[in-house]
Amino acid sequence: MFSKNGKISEKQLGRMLILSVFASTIFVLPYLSAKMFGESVVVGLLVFLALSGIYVLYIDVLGMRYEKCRAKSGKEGYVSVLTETGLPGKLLAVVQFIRIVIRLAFYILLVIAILGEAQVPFMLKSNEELWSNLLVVLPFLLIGVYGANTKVEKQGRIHEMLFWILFIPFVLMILFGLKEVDYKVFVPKIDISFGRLMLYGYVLLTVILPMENHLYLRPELQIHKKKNCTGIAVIAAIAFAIIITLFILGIYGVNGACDEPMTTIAIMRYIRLPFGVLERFDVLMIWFFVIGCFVLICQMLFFAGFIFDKMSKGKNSIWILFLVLFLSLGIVWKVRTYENGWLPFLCYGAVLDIPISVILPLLGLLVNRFYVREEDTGMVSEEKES
Amino acid sequence: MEIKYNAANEIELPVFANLDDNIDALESIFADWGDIVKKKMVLERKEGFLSVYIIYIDGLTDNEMVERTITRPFLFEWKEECEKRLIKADETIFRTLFHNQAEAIDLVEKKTMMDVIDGVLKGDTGIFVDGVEKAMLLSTKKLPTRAVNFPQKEAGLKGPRDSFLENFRINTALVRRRIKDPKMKLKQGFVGQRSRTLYGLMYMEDLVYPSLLSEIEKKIHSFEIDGIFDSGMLVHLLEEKWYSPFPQVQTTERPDKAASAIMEGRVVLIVDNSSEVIILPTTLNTFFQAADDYYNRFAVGSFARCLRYLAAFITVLLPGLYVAVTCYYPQVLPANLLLAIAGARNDVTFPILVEVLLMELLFELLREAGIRLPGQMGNTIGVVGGLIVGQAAVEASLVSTIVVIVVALTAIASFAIPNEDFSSTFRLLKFVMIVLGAVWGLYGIVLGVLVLIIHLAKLESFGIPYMMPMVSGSIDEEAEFQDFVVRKPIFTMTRRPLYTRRGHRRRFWWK
Repeated sequence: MFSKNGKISEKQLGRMLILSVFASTIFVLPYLSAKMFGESVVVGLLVFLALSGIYVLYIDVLGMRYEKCRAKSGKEGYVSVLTETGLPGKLLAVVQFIRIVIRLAFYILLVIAILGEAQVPFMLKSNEELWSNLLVVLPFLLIGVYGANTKVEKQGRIHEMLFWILFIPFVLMILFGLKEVDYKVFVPKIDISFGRLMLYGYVLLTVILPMENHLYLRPELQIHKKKNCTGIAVIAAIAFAIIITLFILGIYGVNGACDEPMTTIAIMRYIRLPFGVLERFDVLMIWFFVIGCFVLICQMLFFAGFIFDKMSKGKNSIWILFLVLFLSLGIVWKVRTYENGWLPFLCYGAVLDIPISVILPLLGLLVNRFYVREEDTGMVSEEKES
Repeated sequence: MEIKYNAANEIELPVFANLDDNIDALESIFADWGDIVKKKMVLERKEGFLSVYIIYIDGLTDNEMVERTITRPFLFEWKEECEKRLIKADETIFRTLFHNQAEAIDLVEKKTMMDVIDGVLKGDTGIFVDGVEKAMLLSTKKLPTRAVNFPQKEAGLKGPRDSFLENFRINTALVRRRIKDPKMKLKQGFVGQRSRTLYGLMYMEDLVYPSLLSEIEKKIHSFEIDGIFDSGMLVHLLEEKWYSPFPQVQTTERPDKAASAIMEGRVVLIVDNSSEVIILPTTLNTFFQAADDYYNRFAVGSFARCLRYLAAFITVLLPGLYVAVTCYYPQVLPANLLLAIAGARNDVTFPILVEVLLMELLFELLREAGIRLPGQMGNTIGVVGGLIVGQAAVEASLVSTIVVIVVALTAIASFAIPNEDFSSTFRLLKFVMIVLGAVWGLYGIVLGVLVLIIHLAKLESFGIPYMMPMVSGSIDEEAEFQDFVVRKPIFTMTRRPLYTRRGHRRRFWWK
């Protein structure tokens, strides 16, 4: 039987990565790109795509490197290296936990904003009513915990099922919204400096950092192929998100998008279904947006549990999921709204998160090499003595 | 004689050499049994008389067969045999009776009292001979049974019309007549301490995964229960996640479906006294497959299957969506439809949630009443409930006409799902969705759907993911999608599904 082997297929790996990268990009990119690049949005997004491509390939190469790299116990993979290399490894794991907590907090703020925009009953837009909003979001977060409390094999299955659902509204939007688009926005213009263009492109990398999960997931593959197309698939997903972003900006206008943080949700109001089937499209689209948000929350919690699971050698990690959720809610309570949160999150991303995501895997490799060599030397000397 | 039973409810007594001891034990065991038939016969021989004791249960046994194969040969032909040659030793007597006198093929020797009693309880006849520490057990079963009938719950327009019965042997024969392959095995056993219900595992030796077979056997032997009276009871004991609303094993009353499952490398579990057999493992997709699909042209079969998937969505979601949209998002609807709903609801006194729940509960009550009543009266209840009560409820302004349409559509959709266990699950989930839609609108329904998706993704049936082929990963993917929402033409379904043992999946090729 192929089931119950604790492994995922390449298709599941690809879908897990594409879903998380696409979901984390599509909800924020139209607003952020309009705000940052202004009229130079086309060029800016191309720069972002190029930088994303470099980052994705970098992670892909590291993933392959980690495949060959064995930790002390003989197990390969990023998490094994993080959790089995003594104190430095444990410290690196703690850093990962903190990053997960911060990212999860941002996603919760995003969920609250999306649900508010989608007119969910009892969601209030006022900052003073965070309690009410959190109560509405709480069942959603608990479902996130339910979804995350699995082994990687079942996690892969969940994402395999959710995969197409997330793309449906965007395909429909492109189909039915074509006539509303002002195609002038697609004409490349540059009215900001090259330095700023690069800086903003770099800052936007914060939204595609879920790609880092590739390092966790790669050792869980059932069949390790030399040719792995996951990286290319993720780049294609980012490109698709960029096309939708341009599409949204084509309907909304760059200036209009700057005033609407939830542009992706708000744009659905302008889509009209043919034959008078429905008057409003946006409300129904909540199906798909909620599923996108679920992917983000579920994956963050899952990886928290996944790291703990490896650290504790298979102990039940449900409490760690609640702990991570509780800490994230603490940050949400402090920040209160998505509008307050996106700028600090981007700053944190640019200054800490992106550099950490680049350096930490490298550090892991170095620490592991040092530890494994030390172990080998120890063993050799013991053998000689005996 | 005092009879002692062990923890497994079995008597630990041997067959005694002294016939009187055996009679004592049997008299104690079968004391106050009104339907037991016991007879001590005395056979003549030159050396003296030989006592033989026969025991069987009236009603379970073919009396005529006992007369024909035991009584007459023993009383009359035996005498002739004794005159021909000298039969001295007791063992030789037994052997002569066993091999020469009893005119039956299905005759076995038993050395323990429990084995003999076990056979007698199933309708066999026990024969004890004085001076021998063994007994004979003659298969004389003649259990009350009905004739092979039409399938009641899985009716179809095309295909065979026979269905399983409560008789174990007829059920195995119904499958055997469809697959004439010596590789199809039948492993039998008993389950239930007191009921000692016979069960059989039918499978293709070369197609089934040995690990699946051993897992099923392990599961069946992992519990003790006093009685199993239907396959439905065993189903609950075999399922891994008892709390799941979804059935994790498939039951069918159609022998052609069971045979087809065996050909796919699945295991069919036949339980005595049950008119349904269990198929293991199963996936969500198999519940949408009807036998007709394969007998009809592929386009017709595929269309019917698409309709069934749509029906499942309608059953679970339509009433909930109606409540959510009309309560929270009326602006979504086109103006004309909105006005029509508002007009229909003009005089209705109840809120939408109560209105929908009322009608849905009314429908479920009518359905339940229709099942319990005998055939013709059941139909009457449907007519009375559907037409008269529905009409009266609308006229009394208890419910709106739109709600009647929604509930009727949901009801029709639920009947389009070919498996009763499965459609019941959907009808149950419908109520959850109605409540979630009323509390949180579409968001509530999405939460419900998300929980369903996660639950289904986590669910497995004997190691096979329940949502296969949607979650098949990368293994044999092409083969899995041959028989999914669209059923491809038979000649393109060249490979067996994933249940089949690796290396044995080819099932069709052109010569």
